[in-house]
Amino acid sequence: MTKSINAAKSATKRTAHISLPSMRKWFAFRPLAVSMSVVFLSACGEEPEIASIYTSVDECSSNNPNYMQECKVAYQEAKDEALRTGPKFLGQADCEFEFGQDNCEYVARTEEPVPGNSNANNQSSSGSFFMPLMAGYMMGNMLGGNSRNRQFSQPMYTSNSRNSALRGRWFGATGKDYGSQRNRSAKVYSSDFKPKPTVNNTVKRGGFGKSVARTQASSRSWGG
Amino acid sequence: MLRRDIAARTDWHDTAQEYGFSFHTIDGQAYWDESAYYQFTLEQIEDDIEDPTQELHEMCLHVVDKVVQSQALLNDFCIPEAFHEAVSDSWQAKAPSLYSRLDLVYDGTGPAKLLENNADTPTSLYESGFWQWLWLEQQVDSGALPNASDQFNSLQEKLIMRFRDIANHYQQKNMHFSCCLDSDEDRGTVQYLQDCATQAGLSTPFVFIDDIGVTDTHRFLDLDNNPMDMAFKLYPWEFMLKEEFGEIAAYSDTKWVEPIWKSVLSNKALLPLLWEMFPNHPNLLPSYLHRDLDKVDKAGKWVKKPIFSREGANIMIIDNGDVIAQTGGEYGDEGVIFQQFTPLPKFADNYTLIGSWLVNDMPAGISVREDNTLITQDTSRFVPHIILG
Repeated sequence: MTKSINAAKSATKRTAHISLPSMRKWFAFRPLAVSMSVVFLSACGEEPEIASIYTSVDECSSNNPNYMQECKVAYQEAKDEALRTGPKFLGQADCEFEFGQDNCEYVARTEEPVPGNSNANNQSSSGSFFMPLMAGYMMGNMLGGNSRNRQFSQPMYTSNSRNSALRGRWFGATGKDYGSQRNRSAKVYSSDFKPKPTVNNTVKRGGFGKSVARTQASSRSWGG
Repeated sequence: MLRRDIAARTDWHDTAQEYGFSFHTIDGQAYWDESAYYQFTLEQIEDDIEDPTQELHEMCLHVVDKVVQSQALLNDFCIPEAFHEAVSDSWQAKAPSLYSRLDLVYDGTGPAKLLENNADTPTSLYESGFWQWLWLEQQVDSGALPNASDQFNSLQEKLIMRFRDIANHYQQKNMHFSCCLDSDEDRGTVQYLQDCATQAGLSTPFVFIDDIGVTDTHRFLDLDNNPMDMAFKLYPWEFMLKEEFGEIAAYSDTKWVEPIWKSVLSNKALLPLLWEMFPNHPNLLPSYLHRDLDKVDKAGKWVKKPIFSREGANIMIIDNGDVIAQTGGEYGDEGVIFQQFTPLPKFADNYTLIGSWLVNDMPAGISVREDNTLITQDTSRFVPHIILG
């Protein structure tokens, strides 16, 4: 064993090279600050575009006969987005309170069993929930810089609940208001099509970190 | 092994700011101390530290292999029964580990003695892997140290390689990083690991441990609700096991770094088991579990340590039945071990402790820490080292 250890020993005993620029923190912040102001400038100076809202693939295709395929793709993308980023509720009543009667659907989502994983916790079907029906989808065009030929879509919701401030409005998964439901177009910025966070029905936080309050006497590490 | 005085770099505070080393002074006390350095010969490093580190690590893994197969031993290690299967599964699955630090008593001669194995959440990594490396480069460049000076410190290049291996093992490109709020030192350590992982080609989002969320399908999420498929936590399993999300974490699909079997490797009950399996090994100190108290020679000098304890908390030194030194702290509800006392060597007015690093299974460098008392605590100072001769 000793032999193999000695054979593995290198000429020097220390890291041969460290890229110092990548370790620098002080200067690293500056370009970040600059690029943020660039983002602000472009957001302030950006001209809005007009995006269309359709309630079905047919509606989209009849408006854009040459873009039937794009209409289909955009619809499917919006559907997938809705499942990933849309509002989710554990109970039907909670969903209908926000979105109105008959405006919510039940989604039974079963987690894929992981091969070779014998732990039953991971194979439960407890991912089921209620979510509002996708009332339509928004298609933006020519947005997003380089992707000139790409359509951008996102799910549109509406509410018929008296409890909702967004009753009769078009709005996105994050609750952003795109105007009256009577309109079929809205002013949008490229940021409206930025990826949105995944929403899970129930996220519980604060289940880690309690032991530290008990043991930590100062701002020093409690590590080893 | 010598302790030599040297002039501090005049601009080191600026350099520290430039590189984001924010915890060189903690609670008003100097932590990084470059008014001196330790000098080792290559022979001392290779024969007395590097090789024994490799051998001790392999012995420790033998103990882990035995412990995970025994409910009784896992109980001795104070690992709750609900986690036994998870610990055993992660060991059998060879869930990859990142790093460890063995604390050694060594004075330049004779065999180094293992004090403990910090295998779950070792800190002082940035100071070791990067900051003392930079100190050496700059002191050699300025002529303050001879050109031939080297350092036992391949931590950074090994960490980068190891992150690449772990990412390949799990087929993931994204690793979350986490520690708790309110410790600059922990955040700095984690930032260093993020830097290394970034250089290995990973994306490295950060979330505080207190902010981690879990869905009812037992998926862990960061604050943006992005799933944590692979996560480094500078947060010990022994805490996680007691907390609300602990059991979910142990059996979730999230690939934790360090993996849960490290709760055995980093446990102080490992020391008595090592002594039992490798009795009289030159790098080991006699150690006993509390239940084997009758084997402890009452006339001798012993150290009583809680199984779960860090930064020298709740340590008691007992001489011929009398307590001659002890530290306070919140640990110790979980059982204790007795380890034969061996004094830390004294250089000038300092008690000196060697931390010997491993990245996965490979010895990767040392850090030298000094304290004014026999028990190295979180008041200790980090002093750089060189190899010369």
